[in-house]
Amino acid sequence: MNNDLFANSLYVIRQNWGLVLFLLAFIFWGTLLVFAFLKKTAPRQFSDSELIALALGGWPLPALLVSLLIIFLRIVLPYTPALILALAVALAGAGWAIRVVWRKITFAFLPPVLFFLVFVFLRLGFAAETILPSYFDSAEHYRIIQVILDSQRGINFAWPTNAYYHLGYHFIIAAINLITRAAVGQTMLLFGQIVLAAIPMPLWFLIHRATESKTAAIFGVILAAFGWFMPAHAVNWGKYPALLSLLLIQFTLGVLALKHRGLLVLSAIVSIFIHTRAAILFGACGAAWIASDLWMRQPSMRRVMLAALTLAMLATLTLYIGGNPILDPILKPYWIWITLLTGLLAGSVSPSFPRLTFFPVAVMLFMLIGLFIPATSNLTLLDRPLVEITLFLPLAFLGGLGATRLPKFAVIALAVVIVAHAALTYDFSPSDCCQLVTRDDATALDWMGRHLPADARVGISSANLNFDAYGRPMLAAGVDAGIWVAPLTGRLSVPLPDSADFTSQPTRDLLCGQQVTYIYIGSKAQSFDPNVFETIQTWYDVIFSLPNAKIIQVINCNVQ
Amino acid sequence: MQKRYSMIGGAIAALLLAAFFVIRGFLGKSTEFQSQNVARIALCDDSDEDLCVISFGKNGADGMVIAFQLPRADYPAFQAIATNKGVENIYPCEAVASAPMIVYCTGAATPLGESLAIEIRAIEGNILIARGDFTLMALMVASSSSSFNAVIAADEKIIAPTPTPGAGYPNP
Repeated sequence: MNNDLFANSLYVIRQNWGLVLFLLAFIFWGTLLVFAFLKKTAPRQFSDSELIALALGGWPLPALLVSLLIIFLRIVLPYTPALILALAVALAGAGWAIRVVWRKITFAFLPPVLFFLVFVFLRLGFAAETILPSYFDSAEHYRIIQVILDSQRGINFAWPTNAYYHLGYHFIIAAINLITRAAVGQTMLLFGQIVLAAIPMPLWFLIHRATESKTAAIFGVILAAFGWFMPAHAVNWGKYPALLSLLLIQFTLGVLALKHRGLLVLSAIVSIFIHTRAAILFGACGAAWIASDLWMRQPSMRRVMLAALTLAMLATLTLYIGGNPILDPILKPYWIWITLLTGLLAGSVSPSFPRLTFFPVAVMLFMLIGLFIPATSNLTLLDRPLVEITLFLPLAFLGGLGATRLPKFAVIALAVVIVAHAALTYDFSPSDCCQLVTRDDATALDWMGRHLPADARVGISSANLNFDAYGRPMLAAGVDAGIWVAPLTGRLSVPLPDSADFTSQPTRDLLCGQQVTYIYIGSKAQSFDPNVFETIQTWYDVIFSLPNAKIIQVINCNVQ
Repeated sequence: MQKRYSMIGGAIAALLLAAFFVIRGFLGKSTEFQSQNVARIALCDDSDEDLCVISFGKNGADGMVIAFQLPRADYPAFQAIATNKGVENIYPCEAVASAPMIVYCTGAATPLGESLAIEIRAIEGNILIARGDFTLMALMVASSSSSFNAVIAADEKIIAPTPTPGAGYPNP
């Protein structure tokens, strides 16, 4: 496992060095701006390593603002003036930031940056074998980005979704693509990996603030990066907005320590614009902070009882979730010795950091409770994937606190073991579960975009998926590369059950009734069976065929 | 203090220098290809170091498609010329917009079981870049497993129309 990791990363950098450099420059631009702002406004006791680590979580804030500016300018101005104006604003911002930090910056800013760059290198290898971003979520993100990109000078500008939907991530990718003209899928892939690399960095600030120990801060960062296979696995699900919001959620919590109200509000709003459920996570953190405050005010005996009660509730909920087939996967990344180690370390330092150990435990408890609270008729406050992705954060924070209990050499040894465990156990390559698009699919979809009539209606394979505690299904989720028909070709796709029997007359009637003129067949386990279409040549014609992708034309609908 | 600034300046200069050499290394693989260095085309499963064939397929009733994987992003635009029993067919090629490292070429179908010599020629200057020999045994390879077929047979036979996925997911 991971034998080709370095080679893959080098390959990705070699093939995409221009885009990778641009993305890093864009991210460092945002980081520099936030760092300069923090440096200018934060009290002096904050070190450069803390501030830069926090800024590595805050860069999406200026990144989104400048992206919105670019999109807006592109709507009202032609391409070149819009680009020049946006570049001027970006350069002016960078100039201001450099002036603020000039002669005030110390070498302390380098370690978090170097950690981040190492993480970037390790994460980029994921993109080596990936044709398009994973899973069906990515196809919808791609479609929204494409709608934003297709808006020409306001004439055709339309809100990319029918209902409210968070668009922060999509505006950022669209703006990057307006500048670089790179393939949208490749930008999504590489940007996602770099975001993933940045996610552990703000913990440096949070843990260092709490413990004043650089060793503990680094240990927390290592835990967040390599302790569990989440959040890294989330890129296989295309959960890019959720991952991006994790950066700003941490940044917002960090800004709380700086007591900068304006930045706090702005950061919270932008987090929610990037991922709506960030509001619920903020709510969980707020409730946990209030609970921990109330808890601290209790007499010591009652505190012990309340802490025991909280842990008992967490354990009960964990056991209940473990017995629920839909929610059970939440715990899968965390049923390992590293979680136990984190718990033991946290327990050992709870007398020294009572509130700071109670707080993350309460956050986890409220997050799990959020899985069961209905928000709308078909949504709960939090869903399974988001909780699964996010639980590593309170755990890594607890682990970082706990590291203060250990001698330095033991922390280093543990960190090495955790990295080795990740290298031997976790796959840094894309998971087979979620790679819907093969190279044959990409070819077939491109051919489709060039040759099918604009009004073609394409039947694609789909299935109902269950994500919430009550088993309410997400209807008609795409299960193979067919989900990319609409975003890549602009043709209307019609989801059909993966179990459809195309040899039966009712299916035939339905296809003709729905005016489904083509059928797309990918190569996943739930794709339609290509062989059945060969058996009734008066109904279906195979018009394009590669080993892993086929396009079928539905013919003779008018013939009785 | 002065010494510290010198050190910071030195570190940044060293980083920039390293970045320069790394970038130069990447760019060193010149965008121009060597005309005298004709590569051998293989199937990508065997080797993807150079231009390789991802798959052969069927395009309509009597057409064929050949999908290639490029070795690098700046590979020159090309067309394929396939020769079978002395008959030469030209296959114009298109890059896949969403995955620019994939290029596919379409043209006349070739009889199965016979050898096919493929030459890749750059559009600019008609220079031979790569060549390879293939024998096509079949153009359509079913990819579904038998277990999948069994699931199909066991499932319900009536389908219900469902709307095209829109704003409802990914979950907010």
